[in-house]
Amino acid sequence: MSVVATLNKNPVRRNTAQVGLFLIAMLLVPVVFGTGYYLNMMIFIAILALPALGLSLLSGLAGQLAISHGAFFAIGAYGSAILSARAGLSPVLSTLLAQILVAVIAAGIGAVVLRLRSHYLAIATLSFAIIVELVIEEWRGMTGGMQGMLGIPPMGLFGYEASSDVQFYYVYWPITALMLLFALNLASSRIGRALRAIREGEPIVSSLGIHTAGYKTGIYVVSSVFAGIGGALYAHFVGFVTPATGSIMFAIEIIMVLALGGFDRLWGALIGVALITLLNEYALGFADYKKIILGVTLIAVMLVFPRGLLPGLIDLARHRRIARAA
Amino acid sequence: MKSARIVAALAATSTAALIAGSALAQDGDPIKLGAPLILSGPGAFAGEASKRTLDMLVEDVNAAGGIDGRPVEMVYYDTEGKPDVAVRVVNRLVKSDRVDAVLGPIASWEAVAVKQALERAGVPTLMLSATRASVDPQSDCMFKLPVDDAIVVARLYEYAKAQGWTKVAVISSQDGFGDGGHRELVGQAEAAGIEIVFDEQFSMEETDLAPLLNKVKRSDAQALINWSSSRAPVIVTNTYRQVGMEIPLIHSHAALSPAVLKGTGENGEGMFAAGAKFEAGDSLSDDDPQKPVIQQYRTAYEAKFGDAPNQFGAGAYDAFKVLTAAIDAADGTDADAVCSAIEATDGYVGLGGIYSYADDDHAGLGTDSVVVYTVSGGNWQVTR
Amino acid sequence: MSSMILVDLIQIVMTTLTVGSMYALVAVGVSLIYNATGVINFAQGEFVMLSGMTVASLYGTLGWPLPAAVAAALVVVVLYAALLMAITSAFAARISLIGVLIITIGASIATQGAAARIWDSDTHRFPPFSGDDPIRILDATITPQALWIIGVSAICIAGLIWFMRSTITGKAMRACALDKAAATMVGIPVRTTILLSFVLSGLLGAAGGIVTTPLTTIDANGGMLLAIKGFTAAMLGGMGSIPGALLGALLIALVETTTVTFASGAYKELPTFTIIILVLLLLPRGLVGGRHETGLHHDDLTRT
Repeated sequence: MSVVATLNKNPVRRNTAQVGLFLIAMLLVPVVFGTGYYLNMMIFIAILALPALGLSLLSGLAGQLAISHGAFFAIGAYGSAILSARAGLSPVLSTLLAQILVAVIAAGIGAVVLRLRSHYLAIATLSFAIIVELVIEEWRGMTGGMQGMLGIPPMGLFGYEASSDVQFYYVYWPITALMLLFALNLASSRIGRALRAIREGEPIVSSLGIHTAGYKTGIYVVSSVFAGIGGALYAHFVGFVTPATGSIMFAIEIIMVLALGGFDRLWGALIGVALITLLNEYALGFADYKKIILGVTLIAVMLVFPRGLLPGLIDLARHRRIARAA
Repeated sequence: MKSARIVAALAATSTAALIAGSALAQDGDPIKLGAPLILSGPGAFAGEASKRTLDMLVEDVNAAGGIDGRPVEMVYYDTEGKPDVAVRVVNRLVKSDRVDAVLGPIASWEAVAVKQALERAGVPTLMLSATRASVDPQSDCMFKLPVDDAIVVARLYEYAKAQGWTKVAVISSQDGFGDGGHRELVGQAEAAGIEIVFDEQFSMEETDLAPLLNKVKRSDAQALINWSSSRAPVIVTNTYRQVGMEIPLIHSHAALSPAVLKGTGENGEGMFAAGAKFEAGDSLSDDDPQKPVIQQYRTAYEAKFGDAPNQFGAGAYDAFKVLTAAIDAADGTDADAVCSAIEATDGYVGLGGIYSYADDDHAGLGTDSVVVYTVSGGNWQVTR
Repeated sequence: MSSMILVDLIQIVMTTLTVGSMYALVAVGVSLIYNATGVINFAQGEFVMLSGMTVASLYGTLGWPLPAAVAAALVVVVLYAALLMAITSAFAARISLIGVLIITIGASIATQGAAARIWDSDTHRFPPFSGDDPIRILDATITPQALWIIGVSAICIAGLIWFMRSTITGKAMRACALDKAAATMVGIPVRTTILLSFVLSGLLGAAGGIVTTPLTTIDANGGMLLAIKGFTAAMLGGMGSIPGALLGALLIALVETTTVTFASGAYKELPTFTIIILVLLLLPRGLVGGRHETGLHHDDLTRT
């Protein structure tokens, strides 16, 4: 009882306990179910959870939607790919260095586009995404152009390279869990509260002397770095990147993840990613049907549960319980 | 109650599947072949023809009792024409479906992308892509079927030189196919005595190519070579006509399809392309060993599906024949044995040419398999 | 040398007008729907795609007479526009602006998938109305279909402007765009005017699909890029302003054509999207100065 009480009072401890339990459960999965092709899917979930968590931070705290997370995923992927495959850096180092690139670009773009709101922000970030895709396609000497870039070394350190799906699984899930913990703590920190306050009434907060633009740019940078790390992990897992890695369709899929998991739910983002990865796997070979399913689900979810499918269902269940109790 | 019934139904079907499975096992384990094909998007016609052809061939083989008593089973996936999707489906083919061999992919940009994954898995692969880059650099167990850019460019340059078109303009699409062709066009020019006076790439998403072609028009090129696939040859040809160009227009082998002629209509008259003899069919001379093979395939395909096959279906046909012959010769699906058997293929008369592989030649065809076509009366005709 | 420049100039002007007309039909459509609902319609390009595909299969493949195929395409697009109107404004007050934007994205990709199933994912084209023989102006050339595109677009947009300014219904639509509450009070049926906006917007897109398909060809996935071009143009000119949309469309076409003529076709999107970011920042209301969103929606994604 007292443990629960302490945990509830201290969000950092509560988050740590929850994420810790979650990670232990995830690490036991291959022990219980053995190795198999499903691990491949699980690794994709760990990777794609990162841009989704990033976007969830932005939409959950700032209430806004950016269509640039696919682009930052691509910058992280190509950045790390180029640094490791062409400059010969170790994948861990290249992953980290690529994030500096992501952060600098995000800070530059964020400082200007975050003055816009609503669908103006969406279109501005979409334009940025199109520019990034174009630069990747055109800077052939560096990126390999439309053909993509092959021969990216697998994730590893000091000569040890992950080579099987199980190894990738045990490297990637702890990273994703750590990032999830960071996101949860950020959301419940003073910074998170300040951002929520800005969302509710920017002029008032700004009149209190809080530097609102700085907060907004900050969260945009953090959120983009989440996507960038995801990109780097992707590149060192698949070993191959193409301009499609950060295409608009990919950005739409991330939005779809949030529509399923809830626009302000970090845990929901994980569930959304799992659903989308399953859809991608089962729709493999049915691209047209996948588009129909994706489109229709997106419409249905937004119409019925504008805040996202999962929060909507939870609300529904709660209302039912209250109604039954009354 | 309801759930109990579902469980019962599930149990029944799975038992049925089990029985069916064991019945199959008595005839020998099936040989599983994976085909990552482009089945949606602008290149879908290529994958569709390949899939139909493979289905037809598998039906024939299994009706005749399979290979060494083992039935053949195909696993198809749609690559959507995207290299990243191609890599995913190939991973699934080798890791989850555990196929014995792979036939495909078709698009050059997919073929180059999946090389690494297939190499690691060590699965015998017969690429259906039309670029030399899919087997160059060569890897142990990867072969290529259709005519590729290396031999098509060589043949085209030979033809252009003979016609006195020594100054050419080159436009190519920004993708694996355009890149591969561009590499060959630039690489072979000097040796062939051809000068490239204009060289620019264009995006497949381009809606208006008039400005590009106007620039070509102003150059002193004596012929225009367009290296692009799927819908691009149609747009290039129509725009070429719209800007009033008169120098000869030469396409890559990707333009050799009825679909392109349908898209260009009248505008296509007089344009050139080089490729396998397959498109010529009936107009080949009677002593050509490929003629009966091509006619027989065309008749069977048209009878079954009601429309004409294309060169991509033909590529799949050749790949299936070469592979099944190799499996037969190797007495099983052991990867090394199958690969050695493919390398031993010598003089197989197929739809796309006469194939001979060797341990240092995984491309299989030479320039003698390539002919130059021109459009006349709405059909591709072999030039004499 | 100077004639060379003149030829270049004529060629640039003609290409700009052709491509610009094509973008303008989409951009003006985007503006119409934005005016009525405050929403950016991501599915705007699907109007073009659906009409192009319908005419291509009925006229090009099945051999219907052209007017019948055109009529059928218009019916298809009007029905589609009505459906789109129904889903985007079903629970409009409850859903944020970005929420509705997401709905139109969903509509766009679902339509692409469905079109690829109904037809196929190949490119389609039908013969141009007046052949392919180029018309020469000095050394510059223009295809007759380009004149059709420019002419039909001009007539459609001029007709629309006249309709909005001079008819009672058009005036009601403008009143509705300015203030929905006031419009309701004076007895303007708001839902009908919204429906009308969608239908008119769809018809503009349909006209675009019918005249441009012979020149540019169309495929099931071809709508989204056009939509992006369309609302980029609309935003450049000033969201909600019809002359602004026209100006934005021509400007984008000019930038693209100039880039392709003097640099390379590969880079044509680069200046366009750089300009849009700059304009959004420096002139958030666009070149002409459009309207800001109406108070019907809130703009926070996570509030309901």
